[in-house]
Amino acid sequence: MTIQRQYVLPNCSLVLEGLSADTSNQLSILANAEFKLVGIEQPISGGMEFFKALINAVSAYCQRLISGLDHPEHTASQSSLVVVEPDDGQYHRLTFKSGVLADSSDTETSEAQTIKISTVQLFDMAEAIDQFCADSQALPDVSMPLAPLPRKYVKPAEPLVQRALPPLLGVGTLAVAALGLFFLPVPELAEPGEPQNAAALEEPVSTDPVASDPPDLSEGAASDATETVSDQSSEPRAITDNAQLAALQQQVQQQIEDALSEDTALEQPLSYQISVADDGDIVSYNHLDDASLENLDSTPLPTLTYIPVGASEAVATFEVTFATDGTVEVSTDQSVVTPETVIPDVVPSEVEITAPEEDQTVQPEASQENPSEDTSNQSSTPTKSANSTSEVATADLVQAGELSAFITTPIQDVDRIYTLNQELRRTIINNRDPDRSGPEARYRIRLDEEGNVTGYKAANDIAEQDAASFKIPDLVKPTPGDQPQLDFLVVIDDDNVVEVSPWDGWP
Amino acid sequence: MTVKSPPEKPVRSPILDKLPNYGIQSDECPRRAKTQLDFILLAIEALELNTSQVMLAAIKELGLQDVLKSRVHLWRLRSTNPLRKFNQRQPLTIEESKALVLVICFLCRKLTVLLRQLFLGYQQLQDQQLSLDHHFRLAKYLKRFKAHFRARMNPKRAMVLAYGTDEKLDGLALSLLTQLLLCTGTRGEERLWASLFDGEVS
Repeated sequence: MTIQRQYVLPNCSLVLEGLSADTSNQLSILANAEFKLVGIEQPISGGMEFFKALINAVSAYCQRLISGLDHPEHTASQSSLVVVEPDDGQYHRLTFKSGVLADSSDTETSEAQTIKISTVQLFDMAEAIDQFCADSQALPDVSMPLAPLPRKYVKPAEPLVQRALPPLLGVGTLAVAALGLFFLPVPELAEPGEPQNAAALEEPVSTDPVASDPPDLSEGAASDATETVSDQSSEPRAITDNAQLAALQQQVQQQIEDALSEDTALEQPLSYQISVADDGDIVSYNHLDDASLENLDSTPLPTLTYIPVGASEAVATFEVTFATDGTVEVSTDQSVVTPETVIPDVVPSEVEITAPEEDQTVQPEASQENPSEDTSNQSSTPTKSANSTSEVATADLVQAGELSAFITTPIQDVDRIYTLNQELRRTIINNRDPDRSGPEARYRIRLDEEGNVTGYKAANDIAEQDAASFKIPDLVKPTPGDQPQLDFLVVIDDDNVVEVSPWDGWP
Repeated sequence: MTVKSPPEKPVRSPILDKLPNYGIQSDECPRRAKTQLDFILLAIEALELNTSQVMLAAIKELGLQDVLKSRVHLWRLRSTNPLRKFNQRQPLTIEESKALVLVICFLCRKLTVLLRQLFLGYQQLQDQQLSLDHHFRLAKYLKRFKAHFRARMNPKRAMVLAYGTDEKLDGLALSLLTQLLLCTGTRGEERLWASLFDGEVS
């Protein structure tokens, strides 16, 4: 009994004819399959082999349309009986191998047959096939599984050559660079820290940059110069001999006055700190205010500066002031060297007259120190007169409690210093007026090892006036200068509390 | 309020089992699948106004509310397309993509008549050697698709740059139209689902 199954769609109808293997109404043996497409007169029909090939090709082609990836089933090859390929626009091409179609065997034996169908026709064909697959009553052993395309069939987006190009290019570049660098010599390793090199490097540093390169002073000279002076004051030995200092002062004064041209007119007084070697050469200078720095070139200092050969020459520090009328004053520099008496005949008298007013106008920091120095110098006379009644010998030896600038042999023993400190404090407390009240008084008192006062100096005006009331001048005893001595700072504050400590701090 | 019944277990929609897993190990969809699903939805949007409303109705009808929870969730799933301007760097799970495939095919079947009309019109235009502008409905679809595509895709992406001209975009729109037509078939879901993993399985 022939069983016929039909799947009808608007543009395509599929008719399957066959037999049933058993008594059931199921189509199990296919005799003929026929596709009828609207607009194509000749039906496409064939046997089982043709039908299987056709449904596989159409189904795979549909999958290709959805995903855009070629399925192996529909690609043209020798073995495939039916091939579906895209055509222009929305048309597709069905190509049948010769002998596949049932009726083509008579007319065209060797040539493949091609049918052009539209997308809608193709879809209806696929739909008929899908409906057949879903139909359990027709050919249950023919199935058409839909599965994703395995990875091996998918061509990579970029061909292998393009993908391999970047790494190959990289490796090639590296190889070329390595080849080029291979011919370069290996650099010699220079051993760092050789003694000659180190000396050569340090030498320009140790010499005076200001003195060696005066024209560069306009820029950054301030910091350089400051360093220089501090270097000079720390490294070389300071000249302490008063006689030598006086001689040097005179020599430098003469030197500068000679070098200063006659017609020099200064807008304002200029002040410098200079370092003078023991043979009278100016080894370095440092400006004390901004105006001095700007007008440095109008002074003879840059030309007079002599670059020392050895680093450890003994130096003395002076202060040079150029007045507006072209006069020069050289004085000892209080900011560096400890205060000391200036021998009057060292400074020419006509220069000395100009000194106080210049000091006050030009150097604020110097003018703070000078008055106390001046007052101490002036007040030394009344002290001396007061002193002379009791102890004339003392006055002769230490100039009425005047202190020499340096202690040749300072006391080193800490215990000794402590004891002296305590003793001095007790002495001062015993001597002071118990009801005293007033501004703070400060003294610098020098003791020898036995605790005898060898000299004193008032550190402020009040102290100067009150010295007698503390009986400090009475304490002074004559002592040879070569004994170990030490300076102490005595402070009697406004509440009459006495504090004593070593002048240079506790060792 | 007393609760007498135990809390409802989320019921997995049996319709999802219609689509096999193809032995995919990871739970995340491949990159191409994300792009493909979003493009197809874009084409549906270009065909039909008010698609989001229709989609929500379709989700309800298919019983997929547990997978596609809300409009925002739907939007976030679509934004997993790496070519989008506002790309969400989130995975699109197998379950979610299955639901999307089902919804797409559901919508496509509703559009069957329109799709066939468009293809017949396309065929006539091609037979008469006329440009695509001469079919009103098709031209409208292409115009809307191009507008949607340019508004939402990141123009800096190389793949989007490849669709820089009108002709290229028209080609994409027509190929998507073919896909929509194929989705309307009896095995449309299976075909679309299988195509998403083309070249991704070993």
